[in-house]
Amino acid sequence: MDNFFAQLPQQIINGLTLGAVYALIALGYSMVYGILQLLNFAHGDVFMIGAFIGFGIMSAMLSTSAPSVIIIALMIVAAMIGCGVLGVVIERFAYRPLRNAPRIAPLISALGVSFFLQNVIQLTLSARFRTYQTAQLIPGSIGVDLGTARLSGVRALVIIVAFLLMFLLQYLVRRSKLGRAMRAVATDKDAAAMMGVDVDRVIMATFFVGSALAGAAGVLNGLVFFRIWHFMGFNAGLKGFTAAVVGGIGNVPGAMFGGFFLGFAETFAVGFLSPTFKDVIAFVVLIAVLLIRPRGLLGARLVQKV
Amino acid sequence: MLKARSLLILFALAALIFTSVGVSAQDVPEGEVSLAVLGPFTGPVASIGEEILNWSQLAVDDFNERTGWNVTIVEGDTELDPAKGVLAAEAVIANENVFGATGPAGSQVVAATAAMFEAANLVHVSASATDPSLTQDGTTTFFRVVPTDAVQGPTDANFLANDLGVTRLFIIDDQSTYSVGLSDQVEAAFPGEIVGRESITQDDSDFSALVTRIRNEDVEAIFFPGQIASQGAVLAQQLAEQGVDVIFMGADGFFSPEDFVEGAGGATEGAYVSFFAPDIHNLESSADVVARYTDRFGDFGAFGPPAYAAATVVLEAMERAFEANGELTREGVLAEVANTNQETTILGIPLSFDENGDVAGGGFSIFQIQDGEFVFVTSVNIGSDEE
Amino acid sequence: MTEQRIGTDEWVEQHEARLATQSELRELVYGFGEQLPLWGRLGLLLLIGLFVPVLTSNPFHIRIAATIALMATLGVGLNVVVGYAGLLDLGFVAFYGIGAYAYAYLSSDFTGVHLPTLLTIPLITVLGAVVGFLLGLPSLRLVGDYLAIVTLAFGQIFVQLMTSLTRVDLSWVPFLTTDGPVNLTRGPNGIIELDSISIFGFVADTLTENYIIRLVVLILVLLFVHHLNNSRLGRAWRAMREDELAAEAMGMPTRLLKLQAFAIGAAIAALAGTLFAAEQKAVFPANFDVTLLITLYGVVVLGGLGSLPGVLLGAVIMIAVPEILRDIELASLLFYVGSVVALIGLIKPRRLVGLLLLNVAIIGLLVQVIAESIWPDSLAELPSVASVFPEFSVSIRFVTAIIDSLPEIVTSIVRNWLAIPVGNQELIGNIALAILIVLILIASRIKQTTQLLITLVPTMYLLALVWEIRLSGQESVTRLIFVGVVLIVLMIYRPHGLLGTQRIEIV
Repeated sequence: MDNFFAQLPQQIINGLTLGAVYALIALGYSMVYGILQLLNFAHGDVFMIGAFIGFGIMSAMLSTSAPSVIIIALMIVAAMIGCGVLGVVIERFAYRPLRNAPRIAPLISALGVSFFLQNVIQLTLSARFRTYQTAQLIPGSIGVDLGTARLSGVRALVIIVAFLLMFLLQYLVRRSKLGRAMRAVATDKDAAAMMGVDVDRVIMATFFVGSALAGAAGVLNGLVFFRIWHFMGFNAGLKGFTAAVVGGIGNVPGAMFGGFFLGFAETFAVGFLSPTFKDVIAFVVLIAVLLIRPRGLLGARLVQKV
Repeated sequence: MLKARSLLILFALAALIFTSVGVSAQDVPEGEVSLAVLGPFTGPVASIGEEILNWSQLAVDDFNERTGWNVTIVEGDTELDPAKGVLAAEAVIANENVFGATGPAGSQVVAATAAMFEAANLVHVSASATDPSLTQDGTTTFFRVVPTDAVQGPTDANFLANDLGVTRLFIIDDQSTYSVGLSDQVEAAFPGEIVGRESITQDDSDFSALVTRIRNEDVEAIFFPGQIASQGAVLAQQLAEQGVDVIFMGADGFFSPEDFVEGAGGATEGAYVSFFAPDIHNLESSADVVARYTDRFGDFGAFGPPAYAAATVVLEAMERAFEANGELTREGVLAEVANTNQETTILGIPLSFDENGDVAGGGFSIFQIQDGEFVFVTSVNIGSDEE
Repeated sequence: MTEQRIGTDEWVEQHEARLATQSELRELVYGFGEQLPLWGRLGLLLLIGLFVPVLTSNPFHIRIAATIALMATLGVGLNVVVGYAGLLDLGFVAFYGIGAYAYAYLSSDFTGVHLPTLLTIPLITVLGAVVGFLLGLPSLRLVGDYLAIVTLAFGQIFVQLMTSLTRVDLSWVPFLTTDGPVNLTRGPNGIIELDSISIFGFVADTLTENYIIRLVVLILVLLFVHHLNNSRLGRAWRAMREDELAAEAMGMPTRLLKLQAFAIGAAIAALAGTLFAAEQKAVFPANFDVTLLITLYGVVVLGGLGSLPGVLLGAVIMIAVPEILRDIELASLLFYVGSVVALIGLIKPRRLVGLLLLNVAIIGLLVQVIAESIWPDSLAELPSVASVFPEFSVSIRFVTAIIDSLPEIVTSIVRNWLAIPVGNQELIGNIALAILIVLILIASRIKQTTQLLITLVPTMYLLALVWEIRLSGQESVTRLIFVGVVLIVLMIYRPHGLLGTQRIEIV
């Protein structure tokens, strides 16, 4: 028990960081799902591209004397824009032609996009691992000691940026006109179209926002966990998907909650149970949650469309 | 020039039909000669496969330049799945131009494919499969240029216990056959207490929860024989982040200046790595080949140079077999690989095989990272008394 | 279509037009099939299958055929779950793994148990069904994608356990004395040296024997599933898949129906697992990774969900295409032929294709003239076409020799036509690849023929350039890029699969 309390504060910080990254990935999954009922298996690879865009900006800027804040901001913004555009392109060319096809068809085409992105990156940028030089941007000495725990500068940054983005997203979805259109399309595409909502445009916007969040997640992930490579999106996508479903897929607060839930489940599994069986424990918890709440933790009290 | 070319295009087929080229006796084999390289060239550990492939390409180019042959490489992508490895191996075996192979890279793929190579009489020399049992079941076509876990495990355990005086050790493996095998050997041979033995996956980049756990146990050293050097760097950085000050030791996979030293931004300073050869970066005899590699492909880690050595073994065996028999056959190449006796290699150590196909002699060197460089600490030769 | 209907877009119209005109393939296959009785169709399949080892002694080809047979068996099983019952099961591979590991435990020195094959196969098939049933019990409270994630989790847990159950403390088990932790699975090293399949003294040691066994099993499974689909159960599944609520209202036990589909799929997977393990003579956790799941979904979806011939076709495509692409020369040929075929499909009227190709050829030569006059030393010196094939003249009489050297001829002609730069080909290739992707995306949106032709000329040139200086040198990566492209294009071209028609909704 002593051990438990000695570890707890630090493990909370660890879980919060990991959860923040998962939550950002899960959001994109969930938004796309909410609007198209499409499992976008290429989402993890968009995340990977984001990490590479950030890496490229960082490599170019580190030799200049620009202050770290500007470099980091630029990395995140560039990755968000780049990934947003990529998401829109993927939607336009790989998913839109399949909008009225059986639901499993875009799933396969998403897998095709995923293969394509991974291997084109391997071909052009090689398969080697790249390392974010986080220490040069945010020195390890920056940080707060909270008793036995330490909140390093980069972890604080990740958590703050993630929450900021989630807050902005919440605002966008709840308050803006675009958000209202998104919710309308998610509820009933045909009805929204009849009410004058440009469905295609709204779907594009959704892909842009969701992919941009994945891009930001890619940069934050690189900053805090350092290494990036062409295949990183596969696992990240799996985790993002899991998080989105735990929270109740299609549901924005649910995805955030699911991300943190998964982050904490993994962290506590490592800290207090067995690191070796981390994934097993996380998945068992997931199954248990879904058996108790079949529509996820914050799942909508969905009316089944007949 | 242009005219000649366009004519060629327009009349290519016609030209082909009417051209007749006499075949003269040559000192290079007739027809295409290929070296097959098997490894994980795509998927999660493609970084390893890519390095193997690049170094093999360099070996083939060097060989072609020296001998005037025109050997080409045939890729056999195993994707790290033994079932895919079987298909890749079958494709390579079915290719009549292939007279020798290097790889497969992973021990489990070697286990799944060895019987096929055996049946086809095709020699395959692995540069990274270290499971001791692979050479014990009487196969005649499998060779490896690296010593096995059975040798390295006790060496590392002894070094940790006797030279560094570690009594409480935490072992982490990355679920690859290599890592699990070596960890098992160290666990068995380590005289002190094993505080923990855990696995992570090669996809993991967040070890902070594990670090927190380790911090709260009284651990003196961590032994993490991973395959992926950047993972070692990440673990070291996360240990530093939480202020955990323990001895950190890795194995061959981490012998990578780019990923393990530069990539860690100083966090791996003081860490130990055991490697089966001297440091190729500082070998005068290998300076030329290292420079050429770096110019062409960039930095490299631990998997490439042994792949170069393995490719060279097979290529030189081809050359000897052709000289001796006047023709190239798989049997001939196989026989000559067994006769390999190189006084030195790119790795800076002599290379010959024992009757099982294991590398004869050899040993392990232990390095420590000091001021961002791998600095030689000690070495243990096989068969010598460690005391 | 004269008027735009509400809720549809141009694509629906195009799609309906396509359905009306482009089902030749389906009609060909089904039309032909209907002329034969069931036993005739299956007998024909067996005959074709048996012909493979007669036709070729190349073990690689036989192994491809054997892999296709195995994947088709798995695909038929998955088709029951996804295609017939409409359940998105992402844990299917785990049942395959359970079958394989069960075989390993029942027929190896690892446990010391060596049961006869005639006992293990039925035993494992039943075990698969039971595990499928038990797993289905809780999972089927969930619908749609929640079911998908739970089954996916199950699949991941299986692989992880097989990797990590290497030091299990079994001291708590009564009547079992162990010293120390027990290695249950040998982790990533897998369980090796399994027994071969042996039936009445016939031991399937060789690849060909194993292939024939797989073929026979595939045909039996097809027979079983075909009858199943035409039975009451099959009709009930279809009803449930089309409208679960209505089915339930009609008094159908939907939960039981789902469980039955789950269990039957799992049993077939477990059966396939035994065949796999017996041939590989080993099992490794890496055999049962998510990549296999992706391949299997490709198998059932590309061919057409719910269609049994579709599964066979899907298995051929998903297995044979990547394997053929291993041979880079053959891949080159396929690449160029495929590009031209794509043009023929894309451009109407078709005579314009000839015009386009002529233009591309001329542009290529122009580029050479310009490049050579501006940078005289920047082009790679290439061997003449004739010198590439000294042996060709000797064997010209034989048609097979022509076919054999066709890839080299095509490559050589293209390489002489292209202006291939010396220097950093990698960088130039990467840039060209990026431009090429953009051009292809643009071209795919253009409707007007003239604009399309104008865009396609540089596209085709870049296509050849990128292939020659970048893709063909990286065969393993290129292979997977192509698998990705094939998946996207096939899905867009035939969203219902090549041989599928029914609309399968997974709710």
